[in-house]
Amino acid sequence: MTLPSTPDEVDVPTTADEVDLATESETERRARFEAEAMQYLDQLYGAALRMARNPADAEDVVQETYAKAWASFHQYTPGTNLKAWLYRILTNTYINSYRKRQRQPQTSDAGEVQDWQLARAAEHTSSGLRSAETEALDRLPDSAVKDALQQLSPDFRMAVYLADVEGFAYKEIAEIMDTPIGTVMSRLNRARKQLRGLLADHARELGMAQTGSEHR
Amino acid sequence: MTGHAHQHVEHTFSALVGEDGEVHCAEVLQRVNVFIDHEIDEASADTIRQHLAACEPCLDQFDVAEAVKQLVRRCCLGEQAPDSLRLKVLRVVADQADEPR
Repeated sequence: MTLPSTPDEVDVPTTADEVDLATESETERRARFEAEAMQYLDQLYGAALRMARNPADAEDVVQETYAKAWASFHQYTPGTNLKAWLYRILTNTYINSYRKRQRQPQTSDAGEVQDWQLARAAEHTSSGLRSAETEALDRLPDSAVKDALQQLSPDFRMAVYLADVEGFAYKEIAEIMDTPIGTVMSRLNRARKQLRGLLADHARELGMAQTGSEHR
Repeated sequence: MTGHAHQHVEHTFSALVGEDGEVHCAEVLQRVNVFIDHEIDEASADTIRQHLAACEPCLDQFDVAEAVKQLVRRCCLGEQAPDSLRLKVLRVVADQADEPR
């Protein structure tokens, strides 16, 4: 097998040496915020799109994230992991807005259990994926993968997104999601099993369709 | 990003090399996630690679896991925030900055 490549890493300008927080003026701080924090806008928006139900909600979450980030930027230690810091605020913002919207938690819990059972059922019928079928995965449209992600519970979806798309280390994911590393690992484990079950069905449908046309 | 500062999580699994000195599939398969996520020390990763070179079923599992990881990455990367959002965010920051504290 080919080894996974290291995720593309953006060089983050380190300004720790130059920043004197005590003497920094509001204008200087704002310039620093715009120079350093705004570069993550696309990434945070991408994450918000996967978390929120629609692009309008995603925009709201991102906007609120930046408002909060700016409000507490004086507490951020220059030179530390700004991206993870922003993701943590994004996650909190999303969770708060998500909880606020769930006026009837019992109903929503039932919904999540259903998704989970659905995914489990998919696992059982398809028993996951074999590598011969991964070719079919490459033919899956992005929308099918996004749909499958959407069927995971928010915690599972977030863990997978942070690990796979952003390439965060488990330790960083633990900080962002405010949870022990063991929980991150079990979320990833269960989320990926569910995801495989869901994708297997898509891939198999695709594979069968292709085989069918070849033999006729 | 601190890509190298991964905290190793080996203690959460049973030993990779069994008491009989052999590497068994069960222990290798426990480590699919930490392997594809680079959360495993190099020595263990080498042991796993050796096992995978000789064990088709395990290799299969690792290949699938890696393929799904790359698929998720491929599908979610490259979203661009609309310009209107960029402007809104900048305006929110500017408005807050103008408020006396």
